[in-house]
Amino acid sequence: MIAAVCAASLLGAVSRPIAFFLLGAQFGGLFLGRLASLAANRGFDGYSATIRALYVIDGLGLILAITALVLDQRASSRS
Amino acid sequence: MTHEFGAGVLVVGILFCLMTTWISGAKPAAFAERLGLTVANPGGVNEVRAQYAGFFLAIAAVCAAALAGLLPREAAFVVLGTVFGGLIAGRLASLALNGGVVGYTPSICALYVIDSLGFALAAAAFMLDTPGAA
Repeated sequence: MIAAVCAASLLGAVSRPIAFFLLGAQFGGLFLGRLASLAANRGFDGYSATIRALYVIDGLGLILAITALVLDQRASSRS
Repeated sequence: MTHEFGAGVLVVGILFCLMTTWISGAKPAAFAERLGLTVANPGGVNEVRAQYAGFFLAIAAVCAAALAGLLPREAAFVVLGTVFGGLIAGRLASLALNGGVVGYTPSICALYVIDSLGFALAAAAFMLDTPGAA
């Protein structure tokens, strides 16, 4: 469903900031939950390679969503 | 009236998401078990806390920001509609593949109602709150 919203945004059916908010909330929430879990687990002990990779993936997803939102708003304020 | 309806949807969304965050974050293994999942190792606990506690906390934050006027309401309704719409779409596909609700726990059966209601409320609030959407 998130992919559908992003595709609709690319086609102009949904505004881009809304798609970036959605991506930011998704990856931000996942990353926040992983950080809380990391603190509760006191480290990466017992985490598989997939779970460790998801820290990078979710963190990158959040950074990309925020960067895209900021750049998009700057571009629209200039025009 | 439409403004109050949208605000009500956001408040219900915040409460539901915070409740999910609290229950899944505090006791991830018990939460997973109610959904028919088994947590095999700390990675499973991590995934439950990320997918349910963290994710739903972020959705609650988006709804609260929209309620406070910090975000456009339209954005919060799209986020809610996407979350609940995606959930119910997945559940309907699963229902078809399973050939019915046989083997589903009461929690899973209840989630068909909850996710459908969540999607319907988000869609209705979006239509009423967004000029030109209806």
